[in-house]
Amino acid sequence: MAKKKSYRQHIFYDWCKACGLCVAFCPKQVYRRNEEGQPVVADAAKCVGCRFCELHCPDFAITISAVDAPSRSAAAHTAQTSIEEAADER
Amino acid sequence: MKMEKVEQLRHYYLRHDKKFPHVWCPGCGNGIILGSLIRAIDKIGLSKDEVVLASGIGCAGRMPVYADFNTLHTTHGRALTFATGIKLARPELNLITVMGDGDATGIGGNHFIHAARRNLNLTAIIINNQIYGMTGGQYSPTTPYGAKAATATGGHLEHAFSIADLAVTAGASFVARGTVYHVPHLDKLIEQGIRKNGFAVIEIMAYCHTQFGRRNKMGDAVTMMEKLRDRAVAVKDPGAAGSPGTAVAAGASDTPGAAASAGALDSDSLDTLDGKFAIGVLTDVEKPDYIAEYARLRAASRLNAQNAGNAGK
Repeated sequence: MAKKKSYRQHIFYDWCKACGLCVAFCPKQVYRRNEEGQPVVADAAKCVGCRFCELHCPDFAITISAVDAPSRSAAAHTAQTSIEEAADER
Repeated sequence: MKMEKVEQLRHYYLRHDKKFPHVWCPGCGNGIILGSLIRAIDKIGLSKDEVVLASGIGCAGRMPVYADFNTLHTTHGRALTFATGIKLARPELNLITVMGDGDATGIGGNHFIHAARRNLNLTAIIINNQIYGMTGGQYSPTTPYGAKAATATGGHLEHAFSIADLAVTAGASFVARGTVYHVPHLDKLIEQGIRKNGFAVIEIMAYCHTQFGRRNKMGDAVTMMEKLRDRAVAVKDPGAAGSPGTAVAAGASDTPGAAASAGALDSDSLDTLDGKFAIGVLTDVEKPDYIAEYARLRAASRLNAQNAGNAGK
């Protein structure tokens, strides 16, 4: 099987207004909303890199980057970082 | 760490000394359009100094505040008049105006039709959210019949017109319509509009969930975005034919869904809350722009004057 490309989702919480567009329109349900309505990465491994969220974020708060060496741990690390960032925000 | 392309664009084109997050409501399409505009300009390869971004009053009028071009924030409805003056004085600059539906076709309606008729090489981006959002939700020329607004609490009694149809009739050489849902498509339309030598109009269907959606029980930004996706129907590029294109079926998920019959694409459907409307390039004609015509007149006048001078000797 060909190596599946993996992607990292970086959310810049300082600019996020919790509109929910990214969560609602992600075709792979990568995000879920936290208590404040902001997106947190629920399953980074599901991301197929369509960049719908990046293009449709009205606040320039999402950056998707392709990860060269895909690994489950990298994805898990991303999810963890996002949750921590969300926690810092509160 | 290497910066992603999208981050580079943000750092390069957005002003660093302005307050972010920007002023627009959560989920507003104006931010999406700003992103689209930046990508289009980057794709064309214009430097920041070669671009002038002018706007009138309203939510859309805030856009030049955030973008690091030569920018003007002008009076209500007069973005095109200021842009006309700049273009005549400095024809080498690329003039882009950003207006709302009320700004462009209500307050500045006369300037809009005559700018289209004059065919000066400007790009008019008109964000159509079907209401005056910033001033409190008064009805605009594009508010559909029966819709509720701050000044039409019992339902709107007047009928909406189609901005794109108006632009075609007034003589614009490039007219396109896009939505804030179909973003890659919108990038292309804006790019084509800026590249076009002549008056180019890009009507962008957006939504105002704060002033329009709430009054008409149309839900939040997500619901209104879904509605735009479902209402839009792609048209075939008419090329240089000059007439509004005919509807074609489109299948892919990021292009508009099931195409309706051609009858449903009547501009009358923009006068409803859920009718289908056409998106894509609606008109693209070649005709000499005002700057070229003026240069021709100058050359001819100079020749006449020389001939008259020679004859006098």
